[in-house]
Amino acid sequence: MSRAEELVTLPLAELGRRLRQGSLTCPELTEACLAREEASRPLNAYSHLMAGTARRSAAALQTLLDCGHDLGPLHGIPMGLKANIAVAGQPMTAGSRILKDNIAREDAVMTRRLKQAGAVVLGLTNMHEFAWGGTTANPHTGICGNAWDAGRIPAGSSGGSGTAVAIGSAMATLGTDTGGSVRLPASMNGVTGLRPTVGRLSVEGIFPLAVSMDTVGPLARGAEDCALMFNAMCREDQRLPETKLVARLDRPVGGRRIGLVRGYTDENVQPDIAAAFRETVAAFERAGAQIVLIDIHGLEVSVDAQVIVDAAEPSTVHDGWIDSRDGDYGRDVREQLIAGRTFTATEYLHAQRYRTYLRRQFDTAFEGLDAILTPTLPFTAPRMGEDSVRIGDRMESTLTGNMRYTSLPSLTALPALSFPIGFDRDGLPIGAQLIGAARQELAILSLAHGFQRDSDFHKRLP
Amino acid sequence: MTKDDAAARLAISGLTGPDDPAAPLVVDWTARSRALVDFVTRNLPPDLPPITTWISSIEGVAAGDRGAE
Repeated sequence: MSRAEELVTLPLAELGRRLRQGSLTCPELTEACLAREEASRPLNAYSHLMAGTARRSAAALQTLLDCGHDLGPLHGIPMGLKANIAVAGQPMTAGSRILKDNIAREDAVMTRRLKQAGAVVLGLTNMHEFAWGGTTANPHTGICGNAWDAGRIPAGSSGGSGTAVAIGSAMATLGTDTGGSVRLPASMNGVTGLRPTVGRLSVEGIFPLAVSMDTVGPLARGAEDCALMFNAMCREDQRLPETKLVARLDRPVGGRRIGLVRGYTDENVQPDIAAAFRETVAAFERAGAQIVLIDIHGLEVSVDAQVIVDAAEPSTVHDGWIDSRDGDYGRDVREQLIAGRTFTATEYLHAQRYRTYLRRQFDTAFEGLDAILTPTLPFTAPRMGEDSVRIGDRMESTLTGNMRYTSLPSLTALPALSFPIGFDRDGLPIGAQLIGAARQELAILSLAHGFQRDSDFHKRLP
Repeated sequence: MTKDDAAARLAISGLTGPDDPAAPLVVDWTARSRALVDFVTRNLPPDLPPITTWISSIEGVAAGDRGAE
């Protein structure tokens, strides 16, 4: 293993220790990520690389550290930001041709907070056009490959963010998650990704998809890394001091109650996913967690509700361009935007009323639970171009399969994360999803952190 | 719903669409939205509000983050 490969598999906390001890420098860490980017360029994880700016930032941050100005646990950490998040002076295209000449005038709130925390911005990560899709097969910025198999999709829409972390061309990234766009690429690339509670983190300066479900969240190797990112991204008065954050993360798994939704565990998923999920449940039990079976009613129409909201809202954002710039969209996004216009107002409002129905059931369940555990996906990464996947003796659409589990937090506006729990027989990563009560991001991060203390799935390099 | 609307809805499946009417229909969103409306009208009380009317007052504004420091 080369020095760069060793560095990019380390937790952010360990990198921070080495940076403060002087056994590692900010420029060396940035160069390690840039070397990984160069070696993996065919994967197309970045749509816009900022190597020069990143090198200057890393040098300046090293000077600050040498002078005793420590900006915190993210000081000198190289990151990629999804291409729909504004970075002042850089292209803000949201992966589109329509915005190809758009230059951001100021940083998004999340960009500003991460820069203030000492982040080195390496570049903008590849994404599905306008975040409206789950493959990151982008006709304008190029197809992004999965870190574990270049012929398979990295999921999306934050596909480049997932691939970059897995391959080590960033130590952490930001993605946006409306219907699953942080959790899906985290799962398919074998890393950890957090979708926070709707409204918890500002989305100002981020191009919208579906405004009632949009969130921004971190992807990194481990849950502890995501917690450091999340804490720095929070509004100043909601951040925890590092010692308190570590104490919250280190809270024991023993005695905590984890719910399994009847019918939403290991049924109708690929066999290797079912096996990995059962082993994950057993691991939590061995650590002392209490597993509780719960019932949530009406889940058979959850994907239907998600599609209505997730289709109608983007079409209102794009209404002015659908007719005037229709030739500038990729085929799939154009058709989806046209389709989103066809849902009636009553269908849309019924979908939003269904979300209240679902949320109330989850709020009731969380009165006696710390988290709910599901698989993230019923299948591992499909080959590029595959629109359906075989599960047992039947075929499932990748679109509806993508949404089966991730739709639950999206519809209820609750926080959720995906973390790696194993690999299938083809060596492809498998993820599980922890859903938390409103504003309880640290509760689910600490459960995943507890699991990751005894597993190494998140540490492996493709 | 017009024929064009129906074709547009099929496009959301990602498997077929107006440009490819001969492609196999795997996901019929018209039927799916009908299923959702049927479920909601049969099972939900008529005064249950849409999530958008109350969620922002709890998470988006009071405890949430509008970007200001």
